Amino acid sequence: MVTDKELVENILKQGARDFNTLVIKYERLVFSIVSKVVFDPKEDIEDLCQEVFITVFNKLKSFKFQSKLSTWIASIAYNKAINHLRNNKLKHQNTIGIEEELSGVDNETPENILSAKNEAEFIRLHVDSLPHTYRTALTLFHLEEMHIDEIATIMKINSGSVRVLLFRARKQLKEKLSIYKQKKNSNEKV
Amino acid sequence: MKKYSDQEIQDQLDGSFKEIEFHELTNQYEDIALYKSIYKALENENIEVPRDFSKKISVELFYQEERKKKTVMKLLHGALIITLTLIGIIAIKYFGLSLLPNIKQAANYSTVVFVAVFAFVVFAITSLETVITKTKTESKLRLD
Repeated sequence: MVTDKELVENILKQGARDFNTLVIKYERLVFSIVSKVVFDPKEDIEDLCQEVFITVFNKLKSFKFQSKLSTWIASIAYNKAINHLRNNKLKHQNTIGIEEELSGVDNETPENILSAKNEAEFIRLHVDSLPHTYRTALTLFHLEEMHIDEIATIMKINSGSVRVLLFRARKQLKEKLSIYKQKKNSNEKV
Repeated sequence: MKKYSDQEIQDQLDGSFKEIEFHELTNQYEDIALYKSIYKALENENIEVPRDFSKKISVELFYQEERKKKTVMKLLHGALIITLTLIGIIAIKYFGLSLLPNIKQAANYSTVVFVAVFAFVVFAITSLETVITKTKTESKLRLD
C-alpha cells in the first residue's frame, strides 16, 4: 500500500498520471464536504469537486506534510465550497434571506415529518436543515471519522468551537427526533 | 439517581468520557436511544460519487497541461521572433543589403553569424516539437 508521502512524491515526479490514485482515494471525502456545504444540483457539486482536485494538483508542490494529506485536501474542499456559497449568496441576496441560506433547507414541514419512512431518513432530512457549519462538523466527525483537531484545522476554528457545533447539532437532532417519534406513535394509535 | 446531561451522554457515545457506563443511566434510556439512532444514521450516510469522476479529472488535467505547453510555446515563439528581428536589424546594420554574397565580411563578424544560425536552429527545433506535440495531443484525444 502506497503511503500519502510516496503518492505525493510520485505525482510530483510523474505529473498527472499518478494523480488518479489520489483522486480515487479522496473523492468521497471531497464530495461529502462539498455536498454538505452547498445545496446545488449534482452537476454543480461535481464541477466544484473537480475544481477542488485541480487546485490540489496545482498546489501539491507547496504541500509540506505539516498536516495529514486528507486534512489539507479537506481544507481546500471546504474553502472552495464556502467561497461558492458566498458568491451564490451575493447573486441571490435579493431573493433569499441570509438566515434562510445559512440555515440550509427547511425540511420541517408536517408532510416531511410524516413522509420520512424511518428514523434514519428523518435524521438525514433534518441534518440538511441545519446550518452548514453544523452539517460539515457532523459529516467530518461521524462519517469521515476525523479528529476534533483536524476538523478545527479544516474549518479554521478552534477545537472548542467544533465541540460546541457537534453538541448543538446532535442536541437539535435529538429534540426533533423525539418529536417525530411522539407524532409517529400518536399516529399509530389513531 | 443522577440525571446526566446531553453533553455527558454525547461524550460517552463519542468515547471521550469513559467514566460513565450506560447501565448507570437507567432513567435516560430514551435519550440514549435517540442519540444512538442519530449516531448510527450519521455514520451510515451514503455519499454518492459519480463512477467516472477520477477519469474526468485526468482529462481535465491533461487539457490543463496542454494549455500550459501551448502558452510556453507561444512565449517561446514570441521571444524567437523578437530575437530574429533584432538579429536582422543588426545584420542589415553591419552588412547592408548585400548580406548573403559577402561571406568574407561575414567571417569578420563570426559572433553575430553564430547567434543568427543558432537562433534559426532553435526556431526550427521548437517548431518541429510544436507540430509533434500537437499531433500527439490530437491522437491521444482521439484514443480517449
